[in-house]
Amino acid sequence: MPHDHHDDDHGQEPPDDLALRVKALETLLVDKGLVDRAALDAIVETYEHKVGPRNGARVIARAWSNRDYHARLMKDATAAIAELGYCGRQGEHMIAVENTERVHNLVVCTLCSCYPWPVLGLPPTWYKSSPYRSRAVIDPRGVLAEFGLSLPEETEIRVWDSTAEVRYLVLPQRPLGTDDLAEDALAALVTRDSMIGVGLASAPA
Amino acid sequence: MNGVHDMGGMHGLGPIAPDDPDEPLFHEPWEARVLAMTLAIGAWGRWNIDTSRRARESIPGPDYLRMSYYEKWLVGLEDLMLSAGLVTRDEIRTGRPAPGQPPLSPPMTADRVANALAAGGPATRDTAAPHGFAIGEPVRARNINPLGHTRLPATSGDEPASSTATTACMCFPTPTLMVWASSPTVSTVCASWRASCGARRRAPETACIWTCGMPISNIPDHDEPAFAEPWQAQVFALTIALHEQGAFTWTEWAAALGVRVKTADGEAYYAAWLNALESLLAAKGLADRDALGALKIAWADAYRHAPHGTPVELKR
Repeated sequence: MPHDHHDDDHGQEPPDDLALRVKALETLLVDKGLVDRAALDAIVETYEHKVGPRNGARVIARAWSNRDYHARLMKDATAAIAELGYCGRQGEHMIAVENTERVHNLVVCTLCSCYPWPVLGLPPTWYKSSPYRSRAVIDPRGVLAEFGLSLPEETEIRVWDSTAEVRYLVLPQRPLGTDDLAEDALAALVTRDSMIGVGLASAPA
Repeated sequence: MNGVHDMGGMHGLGPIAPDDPDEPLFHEPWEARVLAMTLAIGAWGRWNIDTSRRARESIPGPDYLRMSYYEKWLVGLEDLMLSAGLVTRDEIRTGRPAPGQPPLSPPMTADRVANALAAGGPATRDTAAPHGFAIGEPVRARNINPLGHTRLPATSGDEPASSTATTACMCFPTPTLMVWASSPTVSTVCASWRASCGARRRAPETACIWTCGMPISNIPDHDEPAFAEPWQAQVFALTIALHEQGAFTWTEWAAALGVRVKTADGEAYYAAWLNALESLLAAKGLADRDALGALKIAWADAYRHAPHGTPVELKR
């Protein structure tokens, strides 16, 4: 793409319009004292490096390994998840829904992008996209097929539409042949998609 | 609001594109900054989640469908800040603060980020009231479209269903009330803290601002009028107005109502409501029971002495 020719030949190509708009906005808000730039960095750092689906995987692995914890998770997921240190923004009120031979759970937010941040981090693009939001509630089997997952006809699929307050975590079925695995090894089998319900936990290697 | 954001059940929006595992969290650095600014400036407390949802949902449909996710956040953030008077259009356009204003101190500093994110904003409220619906009870979500954000997706509307779960009593943060209270043509009748946080059914569901977290808000008898008697509307409106003026908090009201509705059902609901209001006002020293009793007698007298076809007036 040819450069625009300005007087300064050593100048850089400015970023696209949206990026410039955001830069201008951040500059304005910092100058006005409405936001602290270091706080913005800390927020980005939190969601890029501290909060993500590994948190949820630890919750699932604990529930698979510990019968009492499993019971607590199903009874009061918010409290049980907080036992592992995960709580707060966008996960204030958690409900765990358990997959079984008979029932498979799928989570969506038809209205926007509500998602349990403390255990799964920020949602992937497809979760926030119109196709997923529109079809998860009307054609869950078709949606699962697009993720490469086909379930037996007799399996009941329950779709949970998140609200601004209530967020869901799918407790996937524990893979076969994992009886001897410790919690850390189990957590490695728990995928993000399995905790949303568009996938299953991985089989052990 | 029944805009394009409420897309559950729509056809024709295309195939899903599952991501590859290496998809970055943010596709462009500016997306991260928009997320961070939205969270950081929220600490000013000038709006709540409903207000911000409404800001995004108010993006015109064609733009909403065209925009990327964080672009919607950006537009929503600008809209919120403009509405709250935090910035002006000129400032956004120029990227420069208007002259003559000393800089403020941001409430969310870097050292406060971790705690603020960990604390979140719980929506549960204490109430003695029982759940509005038993599990398995028949319910029908009403097809209602308030102009603000609603938790009730269109796809759940007007089909017979049954309640499968109940959650804790939660509040809607009520931006709709804040916005609509200024409009004399729209009545923000919301009886839904009863439907959701207390009592058994029969709430007129209009612009609901309270829920128990489940988008299920009424039983199938949806042709009945909102209020069976004018006095019910009156006591309802009185309660809203008194709360608006700070006479009591929602928590106090929910507790007072919870005590009463335990024993009430169906038609008796607003009787319990009235009892609850009288008790609460007496406890607050706002309305003496004896004075109320005397006024009641005076009104009965006024009716008896008013000729047919003339307005009844209370003589003082």
